[in-house]
Amino acid sequence: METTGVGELYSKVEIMARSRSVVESDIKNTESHLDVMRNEGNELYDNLSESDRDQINDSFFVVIDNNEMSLSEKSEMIEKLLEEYKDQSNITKIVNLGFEIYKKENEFFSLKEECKPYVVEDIKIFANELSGQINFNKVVNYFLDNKNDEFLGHIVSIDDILSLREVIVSGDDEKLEQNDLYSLYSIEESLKKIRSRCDNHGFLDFQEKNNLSDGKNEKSESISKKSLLEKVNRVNEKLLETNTLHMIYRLTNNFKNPTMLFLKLLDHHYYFDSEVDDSHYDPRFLKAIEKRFIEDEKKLIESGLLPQNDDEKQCFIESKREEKTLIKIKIIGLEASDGKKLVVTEGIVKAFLEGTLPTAFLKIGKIEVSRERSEDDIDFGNNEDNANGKTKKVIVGEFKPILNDKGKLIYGNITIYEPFEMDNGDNNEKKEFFIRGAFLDTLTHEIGHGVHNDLGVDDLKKWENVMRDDETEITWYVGYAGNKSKSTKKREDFCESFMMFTKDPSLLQILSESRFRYMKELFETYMDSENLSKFKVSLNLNLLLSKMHWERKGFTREQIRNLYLSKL
Amino acid sequence: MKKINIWDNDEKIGELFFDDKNKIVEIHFEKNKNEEYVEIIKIMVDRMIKRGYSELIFDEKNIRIKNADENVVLAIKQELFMNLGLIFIK
Repeated sequence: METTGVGELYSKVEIMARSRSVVESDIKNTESHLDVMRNEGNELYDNLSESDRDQINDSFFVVIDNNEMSLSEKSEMIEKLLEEYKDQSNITKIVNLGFEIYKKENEFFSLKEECKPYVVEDIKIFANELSGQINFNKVVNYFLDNKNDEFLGHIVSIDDILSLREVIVSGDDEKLEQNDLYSLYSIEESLKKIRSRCDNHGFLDFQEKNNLSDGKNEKSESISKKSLLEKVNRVNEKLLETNTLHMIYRLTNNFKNPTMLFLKLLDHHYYFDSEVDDSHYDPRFLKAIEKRFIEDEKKLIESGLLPQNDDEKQCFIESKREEKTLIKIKIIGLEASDGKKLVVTEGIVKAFLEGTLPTAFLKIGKIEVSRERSEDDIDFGNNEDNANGKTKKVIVGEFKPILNDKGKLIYGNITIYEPFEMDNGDNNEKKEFFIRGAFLDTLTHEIGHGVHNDLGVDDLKKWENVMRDDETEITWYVGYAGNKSKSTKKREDFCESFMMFTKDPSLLQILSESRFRYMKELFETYMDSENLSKFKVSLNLNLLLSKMHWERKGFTREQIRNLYLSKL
Repeated sequence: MKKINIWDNDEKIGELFFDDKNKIVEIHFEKNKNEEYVEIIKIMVDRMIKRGYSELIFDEKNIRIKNADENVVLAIKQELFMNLGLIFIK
């Protein structure tokens, strides 16, 4: 459609006078007409010889594709081509048809441009109305109450909300108009789907209608937004850190923090450090998130998953001291078979636990002792230690945590696959000592997994620092675990350090002063108040006796360290 | 072949030999100590097998451990040091 001067003005007036449905009807008819013409053109082109096609490609299409020529110039050139090929009817026929198609396509393009303002206007009206109706409290709560992080994509995705906000809050008409007509149709369709999904899930609140644009420029809202985003950012950092530590230390990867996942999605889209005004947040959406943040943060602190202030921490420790869980521990399977005597008895185990470990570390449901690991108990490829899933995993002990829905340890069950008996007539004291020691080492190691699992973020961070600053592998098993994965090594390093602190604190101190200090502080923090002074005296006595023992033999600390750690 | 002496307090109770090429560790206890320690070594190697070194094979008669490397020797040293206070000195 070519218009100039008064004609162009007239044409615009005419366009504005036409309704969307009339223009869309013209678009539809033109598109149908174009389809017929293109089919005919393709058929003619297919029947051309190679040389005829080359002639058309080098002449006709060069003219048509020249963006610097006006339509009248192109028309003149086409006339000349028709004169040149007047004796070749197959070529003139396709040139005539091709030029008609070209003109029809221009007409089609003009109609689409004519239609765009109507669609843009309709989208804005629809989006504004829909935005006013969405109850973001319900959306946020629905998301956070469901642990399936995929679900939002099926109902109302962050992308949908973003699209909606782009349309309404940005107020940038030009941005919307930069889309071609079919993209606008797609946006319109997307908004209709959002409305349908929101309606189906009860997210629409028809009584509440806000004109969001009205408050957009208010200073108070901007300040509020900034404050909210800072809070979001702060909580997000805490949760991400917590989750990272969880992924390293928890014995299960099933734990997923829904709030954290949600924040990650938001973070991906909005970049919390960017300018607040660029974020396009719906204030109601932010408020809904903030409300849930406050609630969730409180719950996480309550469950010990987030750092607490000193007062809260003290209360937490006091409450632990009050817990008397030891009597609840069941010990199963410590029974001698015929002709054998027990080297490890229930009494020995209980006395060891009561005399060595803080009660707060004994979140144990049962300790089961087994001579052989049954096939039913063997996991094939269910954890990273057995990633290929093919090899039968033989072990000396295992800790199976029972977690609540926040991933917090309720208690753990321990199974020990260590020898615990000797022949009746066997009086080898060293062997008895070795068997008992190995059994209790394994038990302490497994309890260490539970303690590790139950640590707060502050304690986990401190442990990370200990390992970072001192990479000593205090037992061969730590080095062996390091061949599996870094996370495995970190967990096993904790458990071996925990075990060595109870078995031989002086050796741990010689091998790794920082690990010794960490364990000492951990034990002193959680030790039952009535046993604390006893624990300190016992520890100091142990260290002193050990020091005297090695000095008497003429060994320095460094020599002991080398004897223990050096390879052949 | 590398050799290292095993001490229990002030008493030498045996020697550990490590054949790097054939990946064999052999422990020779003094005659009066052999009976006392051989079963302990058996239990210890069994633990090491369960904890990861599944390729190890223990020959009880000769107190010989096959398929061993220097990490296995380190493990033996550490296990006996921690559990029985034995010291290994070249």
